[in-house]
Amino acid sequence: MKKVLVLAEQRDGELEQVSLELLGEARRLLARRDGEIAALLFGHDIGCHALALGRHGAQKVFLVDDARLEHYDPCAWLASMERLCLQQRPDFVFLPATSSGEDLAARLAVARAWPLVARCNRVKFVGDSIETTRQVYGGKLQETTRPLAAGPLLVTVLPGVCGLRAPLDPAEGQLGTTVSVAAEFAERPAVRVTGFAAADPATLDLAEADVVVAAGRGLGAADKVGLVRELAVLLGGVVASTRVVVDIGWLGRETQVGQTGRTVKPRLYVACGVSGATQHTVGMKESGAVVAINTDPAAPIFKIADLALNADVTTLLPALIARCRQRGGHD
Amino acid sequence: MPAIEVFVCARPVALLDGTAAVDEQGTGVDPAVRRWGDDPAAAFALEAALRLRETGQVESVVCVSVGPVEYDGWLARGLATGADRALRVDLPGQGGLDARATGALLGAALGRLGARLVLTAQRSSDEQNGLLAAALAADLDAAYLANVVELRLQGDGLAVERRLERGHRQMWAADLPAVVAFEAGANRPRYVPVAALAMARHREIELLAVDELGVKPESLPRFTERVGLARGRVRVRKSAVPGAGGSAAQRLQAVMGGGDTGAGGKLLSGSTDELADRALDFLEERGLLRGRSTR
Repeated sequence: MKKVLVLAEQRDGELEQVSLELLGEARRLLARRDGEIAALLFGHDIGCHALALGRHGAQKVFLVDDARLEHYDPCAWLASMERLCLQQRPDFVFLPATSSGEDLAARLAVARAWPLVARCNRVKFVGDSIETTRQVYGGKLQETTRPLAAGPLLVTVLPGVCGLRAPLDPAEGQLGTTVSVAAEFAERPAVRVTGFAAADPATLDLAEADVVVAAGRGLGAADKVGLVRELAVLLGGVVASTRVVVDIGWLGRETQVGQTGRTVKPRLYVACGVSGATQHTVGMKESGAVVAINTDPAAPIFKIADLALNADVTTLLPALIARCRQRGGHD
Repeated sequence: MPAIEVFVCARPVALLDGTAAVDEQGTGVDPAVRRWGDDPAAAFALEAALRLRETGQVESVVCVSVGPVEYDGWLARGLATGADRALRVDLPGQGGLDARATGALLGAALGRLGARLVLTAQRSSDEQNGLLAAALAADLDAAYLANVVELRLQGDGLAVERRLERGHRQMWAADLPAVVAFEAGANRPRYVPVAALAMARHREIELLAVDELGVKPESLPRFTERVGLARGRVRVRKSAVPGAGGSAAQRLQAVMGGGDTGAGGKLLSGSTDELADRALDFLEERGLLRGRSTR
């Protein structure tokens, strides 16, 4: 029987989607084999996530629940994960290629001399052996590797690479047995966690932002930029602008997105009164979801928008802001 | 604080010409299309080291690499940028060591040099393993600090700020010795004049023979084996189709800007309340209203 252990991640009380993507990948890998999938989750007050992990394929959910583990602690995570791996003896450990997942994978690989394949695209059985593929040389070449060393194969996968699979049918009875695991803290850890600073939308770099709310000339006046700022705060995002908005002085040059500004790739891009000139869209066309608000039904931005709203941005934004507040956006 | 030398470890990266090609065995890069170039990721670690020296927190900066003579290009660049010394562990013809073997050799070399503070890139631009710094730290019995964007020395230790997803930051502290892996974009590497680069080509690069380290590269364990290397499969994520009208320049611009991607955004009209509700539903459906909700 093959065993897969998936490191799940949560942040701010929300389970990261990549955790479920990895469980889906584990299900795909073991689809035609006798196997067991387990998930491991660190954090505080995390019992509520066991159900979601179970519905996505985890037959066992190991929870390391401790108030001191609200944020990533490399030494404590490593000690607990190492012990669990030695107890459970998984054949594969899937970790998200995030700041904590990659760090933990490297520490674990080095500490136990286990094979690691970083930023893997695919894991598959070839007969009884295993092959992994990953991109190298800037994506120009695809590397296929086989593990040589003994021990579980550690695999990190970038968020979004596997895609999210549909959860299991509850009728299949896969709800995940929850097992509490005590956290392990060294008396004098090599690395001490001394603080955490949540992103400040006011100072967050555009390139790092998950949500970008862009102001265009369609706002009509400088005082309406405040609406864009307010929506950005509620969505936990950052304010961006078009070149025209910068040129007329409503926002600073550092906010400009486009050919002569920054290139962004957020999960959500809200274009407020942005026409969608090519010079602007080259800087945001890789965004995950685009919501566009404009009075001109022929505005080019609507061609790349996932949600195209033909409305006056100055009247729609206050209504949108009020609803965001009611439904509990970041505030 | 005693005078500290900071060591910056990196290697040149393999730059492939436009048509990446593999060798006859199908497991390596065809040398005809490969040339060695500076790793942009290493520049951030070097810049951080130079700033530590400029603020008096360390005494000198040493660039270190393990590999053949072709690697001297990066070391010369380090000298041109402002490093005090450059050192290469001479390993003729073995540019293809994996991260852990490189870490073992670097660890042996830096152990001999009494290194207490080592900076590296978080991951190389070509292989992207992100394993070297962790391997090196283990070999040096040093603390390992990853994803760092800011570093300060404090007494006999150091404090770092590390970059997390979505702009969050975490602060770590550790005692020396330590290996610190810098994120790309952590700082703005300084400009290196061409004249300085040309002059640095004539400066001495110290050599350390691998035999002196007591580590045999061929006896180092291998953890994975490359069984294939092939051109990446090109998959179309979006196709941009320019409209039939307009000039050639306008159509070209439309393609560059994404054109009509058929994103499915049906134009919605209606009352303000209806549209606001629709927008909220959209954000909730996509899990965009409150971070990355998946529950």
